[in-house]
Amino acid sequence: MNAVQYDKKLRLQLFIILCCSAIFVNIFGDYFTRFLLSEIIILSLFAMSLDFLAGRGGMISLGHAMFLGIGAYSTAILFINFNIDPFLCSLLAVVIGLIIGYLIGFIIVKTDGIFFIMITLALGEMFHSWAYTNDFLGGSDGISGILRPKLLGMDLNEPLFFSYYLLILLILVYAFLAAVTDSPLGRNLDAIRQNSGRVLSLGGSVKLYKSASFGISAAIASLAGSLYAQLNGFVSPEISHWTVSGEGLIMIIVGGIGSLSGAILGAVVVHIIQHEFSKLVDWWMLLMGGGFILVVLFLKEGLWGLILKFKNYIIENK
Amino acid sequence: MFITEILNALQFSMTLFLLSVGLTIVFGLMKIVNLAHGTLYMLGAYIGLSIWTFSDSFWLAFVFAPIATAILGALLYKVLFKFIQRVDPMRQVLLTFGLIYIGLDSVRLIWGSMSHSITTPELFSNPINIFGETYPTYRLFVILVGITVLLILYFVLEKTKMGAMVRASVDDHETSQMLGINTEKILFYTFSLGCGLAGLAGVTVAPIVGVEAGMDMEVLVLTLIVVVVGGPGSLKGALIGSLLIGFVDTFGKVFFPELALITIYAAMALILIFKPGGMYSRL
Repeated sequence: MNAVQYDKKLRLQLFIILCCSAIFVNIFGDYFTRFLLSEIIILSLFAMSLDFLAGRGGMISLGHAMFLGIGAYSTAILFINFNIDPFLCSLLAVVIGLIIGYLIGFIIVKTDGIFFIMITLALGEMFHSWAYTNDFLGGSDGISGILRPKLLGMDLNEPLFFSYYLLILLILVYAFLAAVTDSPLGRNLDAIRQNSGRVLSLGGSVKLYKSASFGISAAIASLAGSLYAQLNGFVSPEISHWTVSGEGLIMIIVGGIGSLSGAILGAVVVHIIQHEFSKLVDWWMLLMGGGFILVVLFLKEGLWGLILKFKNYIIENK
Repeated sequence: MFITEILNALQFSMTLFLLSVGLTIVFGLMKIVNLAHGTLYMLGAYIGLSIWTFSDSFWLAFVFAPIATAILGALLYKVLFKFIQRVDPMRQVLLTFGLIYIGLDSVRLIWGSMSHSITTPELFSNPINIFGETYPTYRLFVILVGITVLLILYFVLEKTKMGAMVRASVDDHETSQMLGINTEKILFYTFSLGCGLAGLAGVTVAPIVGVEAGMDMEVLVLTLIVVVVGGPGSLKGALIGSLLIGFVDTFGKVFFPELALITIYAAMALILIFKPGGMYSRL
């Protein structure tokens, strides 16, 4: 799968526009829009983790919701059973996601393309049914009673503050992923995606780079899972269902794979469409599947490609 | 108890075999995997359900549901896959992923979101005594269906000219084309046949597991594991993979009920570590 045309400046511009509109919505919104905004920011984090994996690492994972689940469940267990501070829980969830992601990555990155899709899908579904039947994880009921952190004297149970908290995390993750993309690791990943055999023969450790990127991506997905658990106050196995992984994939394909801020745009568009359509009709999955197929067929670079074309059009006509 | 479990494992393996064989050979031919394969299995069960409801005959459902899914598969191939053949394989796989959503919602719209069941046909309604243990005859019938399909496929693939052409196309697409084999046509028929077999699996297990939306993903995951473990492109791989996963799953559930799915995962991981291409890969 090819990543989109690379444009650092446009990436930042789009990200700033998205952040500004998030702040705007947060200031003027009510309780429900703020909740929706929080959901979208968390999904954006998830979409960015997938985008990094697919766009840089060239690995399309259909089981990434597993790491959402790992993050959410570890936050829940650390908070409920060990009484650890919620903020620390999120940090630990990131570390747990990183370690598990790296270990799983180490085993599965030797496969690629379709094999990778098949294995990640299988792993994700297994995690889901394991969480579903495990008594310690609360079975199908999940775990409830997760609280949000208190930071710098601010109680994040207040939706306005929590959205800002999420937005700050989003900016940090964006800055981190953008830096990794432009770092030697990112360049190596680009090279591996284009021709892994050549990187190998030049002495690059393909496996190490790939599992590192899988670990990074898993850590960010795990952070998103942890925040999702804190947003809702509970976690259920549904969070790691294949449809969630699938929605993440739809988001990055609609946004444009490898564009990072395009993934956020994809998350915004897909989640709002889903949110609004599921209110109106009960066959929104049909619409989503159909729309997704059309994007795959006709809009190869997603919304990012459209924006890029629009930008070039303006420059030419100036 | 032990014989019951062995037979259960065998029945499950045969269902997996019906599902994975189409997928694995199509993968061998066009290097893409149809993620909507589970959807066709589900549709087979649902179409079977409708035929059974209207005609009150399981056997009509048993014959016509697979034909219906084969036709659906043929349409899918003609409309979508032929259209996107020049697109890179990953895009084609994603396309089939979109089909899962469409299939799931269509099923819910047409048949409702309730789960249904099909009664076991009268011929097999009485259990049988095997070495002092009672066992449902219908499950034996499922095993028989699997073995019959296996034998027919083995004969066609290994002993006929048509089968030789299929094997040649799997091994080397371009050379086969150069030697005058119509790989396009082979692909079309194999794809449709694979979809038909998925439908056959759906309708045969419907009296055992019931019919519900969501049965597609459960089976898709196991089928993908079989394809990965067995190695894509080979009949032998599909058979051995199905037996392995069928037995590991059934006995895993008996011996370590808590770790039911972990045992399959462990089996898959072990095989992938030692044989990254699967056990009998032809690629």
